Amino acid sequence: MFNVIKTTNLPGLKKQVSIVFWGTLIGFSSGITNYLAWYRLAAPIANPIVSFYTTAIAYAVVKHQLMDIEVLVKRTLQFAGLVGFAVLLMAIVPKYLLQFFGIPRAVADILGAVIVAASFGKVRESLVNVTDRYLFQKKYDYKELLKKFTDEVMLKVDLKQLLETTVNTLTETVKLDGSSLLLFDKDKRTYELVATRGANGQQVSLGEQEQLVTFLRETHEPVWLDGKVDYPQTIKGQMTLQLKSRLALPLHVHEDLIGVLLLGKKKSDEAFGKDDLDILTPLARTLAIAVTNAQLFEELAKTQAEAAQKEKLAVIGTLSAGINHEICNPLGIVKAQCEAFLLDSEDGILIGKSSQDLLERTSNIMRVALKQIDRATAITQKLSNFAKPIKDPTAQTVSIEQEIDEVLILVGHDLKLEKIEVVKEIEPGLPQIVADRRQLQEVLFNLVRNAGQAIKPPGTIWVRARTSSGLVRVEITDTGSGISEENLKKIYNPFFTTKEPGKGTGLGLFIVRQIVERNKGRIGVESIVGKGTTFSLEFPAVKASPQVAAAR
Amino acid sequence: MAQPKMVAIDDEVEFTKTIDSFFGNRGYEVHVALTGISGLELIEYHKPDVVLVDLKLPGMDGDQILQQIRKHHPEIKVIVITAYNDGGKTRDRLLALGAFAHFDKPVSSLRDLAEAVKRALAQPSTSQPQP
Repeated sequence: MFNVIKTTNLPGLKKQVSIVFWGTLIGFSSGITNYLAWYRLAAPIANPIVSFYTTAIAYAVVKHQLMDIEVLVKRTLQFAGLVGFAVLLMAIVPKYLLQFFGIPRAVADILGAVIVAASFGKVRESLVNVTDRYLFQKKYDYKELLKKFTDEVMLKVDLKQLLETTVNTLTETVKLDGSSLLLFDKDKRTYELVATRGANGQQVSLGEQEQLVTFLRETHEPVWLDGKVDYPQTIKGQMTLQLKSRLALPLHVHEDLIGVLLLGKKKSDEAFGKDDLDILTPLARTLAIAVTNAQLFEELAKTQAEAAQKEKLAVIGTLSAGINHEICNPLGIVKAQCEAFLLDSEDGILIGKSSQDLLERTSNIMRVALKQIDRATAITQKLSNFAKPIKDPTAQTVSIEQEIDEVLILVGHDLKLEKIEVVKEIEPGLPQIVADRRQLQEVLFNLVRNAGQAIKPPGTIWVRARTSSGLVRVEITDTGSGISEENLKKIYNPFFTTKEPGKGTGLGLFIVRQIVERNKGRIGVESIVGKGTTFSLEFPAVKASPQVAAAR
Repeated sequence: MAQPKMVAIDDEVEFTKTIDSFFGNRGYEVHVALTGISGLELIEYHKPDVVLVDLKLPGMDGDQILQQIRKHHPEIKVIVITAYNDGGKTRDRLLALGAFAHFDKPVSSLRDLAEAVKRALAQPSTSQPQP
């Protein structure tokens, strides 16, 4: 026992063994004093001290889970039930058999015993169920918890949602005061509080080298924080005071400690025991995997957003000729008008003009200049709006027609320059859809630009929009070269491109499809080689206008 | 010398108006068009000394008009107007195709344009275009 105390790393075991050790030592050594009577030596205090042994064992059982007391209680209850059942049966059955059927006492007794033996198995099973269900409801719930938790958690790919669900489900099902999750922050190299129930608004962060963290990392074992384990006051203080935690479970993926799950006090005031850990340990393992998955998914989404942004900037590069032209033209007009006036003045052409005429001429120049400045400004504004990275996509009701117009303003000049006609056919009164406005623009932009690039000028692009059974359908058709059946299968693959180097990064349609699907839409394509291609988008239409809805 | 004749073709109305009044004030007979097709009609009708034509036009563009003029009226000097600001790439191409000069909005100055037109008129119509 002494060796165990010396060598063990488990604080729970250490406590249990040392209590038993000291209890036994004190109890037995005082018990031995009774034998001193043989030698006529009185040891009057010995007998009361013997009880110290029992007290110590009892203390260890109750406080430090020395024995699984629940199993004892459960077995006792089941046993008592079975004995009661047998006794009751034996007391009643033979008596009745004797009284009503006149069966001799001895035979009746044997018959009674047979009945008891036959029904024993069934009765025992139902007693186990009853005790599990009513007296040890917690255990019963735990099985449910593990199932429910795994079902829910494994489906969440959104990290924030996953963390919230975890603390909420745990707190409610295990009936805790609260629970919290710390996750490793790769940049700060600390474990940061990322979700909590019952300790909201707290700022907690644990360093990589903090004792609790190193302990969890190295042992993969849970740590009790209920003040019975001698961790440095700082950890104990921080955890128990700020997060009111009683149990810390490590979240490991291989050898990496990716986080710490902290559970608060049970509402029942019971300590966390072995049966809790039987459920919570696999749960922590599941959680660690789910969290890692969600983190990877988040990273992937970020990488994709960055790729989309790069693609957009590349697109703007190819657009620059058209946009440059649209800005140079108004500037050219302003410059020409101003110069013409100054040169007229220098060359004496204005001599003899009435002040009325001069005022009218200058006013006219100003008006033209202002109009042209607005024209150039509008283009730069649209361009910078389009170029900005989309940080938080927000779904809102948008008019497809309006977005088509915005996009055609940006690409239109380029297409006109290349002798490509754009024909717009929008069904009047087209319903709105729900989408992120700028993402929708990005999609339309990419499709129209692709259509333009597929065409060997001169050619035509039709942009059509109509409703079809509750959906808004947009079609972008070109008179381009078409896509072969073989390539049609690959067009949504990242980095697939048939464009010449420098014309496309190949991410276009890959990103387009992702954005469409993220906005609850669908994308389709039909193509005939040599004739052209039609890309179609379908989004659920927003239900009729409020007036119509009210009239229903 | 008779009044010099000019045809200006540009779909930017305000620019065409400026050219009209600027050269009109300086003794030119100016005819303006907003499309390539009506521009060519004006050229056929007026037989101008010099043509100002925008490169980017709806329908028939500046390149095609330049070709037509070089083919049918090589004596007419063509000054091509662009709005590219692309560091001379377009200018070199146009001069190689036989344009007399190049005016790039908003870089070029109206004074330079006036000089170019003067030079065009001063040059004998049979000479080869200068790069």
